[in-house]
Amino acid sequence: MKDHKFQLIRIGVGASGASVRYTGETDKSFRRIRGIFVALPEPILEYGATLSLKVGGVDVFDEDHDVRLLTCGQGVAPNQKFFLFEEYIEAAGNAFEGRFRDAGIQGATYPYEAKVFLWLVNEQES
Amino acid sequence: MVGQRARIVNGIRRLNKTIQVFRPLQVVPIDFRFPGDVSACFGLQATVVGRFPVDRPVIPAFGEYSLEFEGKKIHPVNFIVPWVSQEVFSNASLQRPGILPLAVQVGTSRMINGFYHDLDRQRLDAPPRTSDLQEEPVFQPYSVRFTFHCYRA
Repeated sequence: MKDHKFQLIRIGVGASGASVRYTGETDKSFRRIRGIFVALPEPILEYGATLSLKVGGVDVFDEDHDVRLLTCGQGVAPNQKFFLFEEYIEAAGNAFEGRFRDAGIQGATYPYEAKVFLWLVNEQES
Repeated sequence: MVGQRARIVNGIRRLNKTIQVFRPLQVVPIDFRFPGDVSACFGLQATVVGRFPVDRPVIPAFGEYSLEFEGKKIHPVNFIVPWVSQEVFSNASLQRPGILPLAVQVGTSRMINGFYHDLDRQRLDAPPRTSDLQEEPVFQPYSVRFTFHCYRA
């Protein structure tokens, strides 16, 4: 049985200050969302950028959740990059939705793609 | 332990409260109420949102804050907020900001009161002036974002 999957959500940001809604479904063959990691192409884009997330209609991150709390530097080991969820968030094909908000930083390059990675696992609730 | 387990099963809410700072040394009051589905607050993160032309990549005490819970009955937090340059650290080993642990049961009041105090580091850590003709640094308004990690009731 497969135990881990890193599901990628691509969010296209077209212009400075853009607010982009994203939706999707988690992979059906995994039970739980274990963690999340957000990657932006330029460090300065992290100033003030926010990401909200709902899974199955339940708020995981509300509006104004700072992307800096969900990302980290390139030198951090891959298995330590993720913000880990203490609570049990069911994957199993659950719908997710959210909004990425660019902070409109001077000197940043547009357009760009924000990448959100969901760490899906098959472990039982422990 | 059983109680903690039950709270996690019910879920976690992460609530964000953002304040604006417009002047050096400004004291910004914080007053808001937890929503009804929150039973306890177990952690807090505070981050400065802004870019500043300062001389250092890290300012450990950029501002300070104090928070009281339950209508000022519980006063668990007096702490500082750092500022970190994303440009300098993001490509190195910058970790996510950690969570300041709290263990506050949310009762009937649900009120959170307190303040944030700017410590004037934009002026104190500004690059040195190279000539008398150079202008004094201008204060850049910024935000401070508080994230409360709470158990659902």
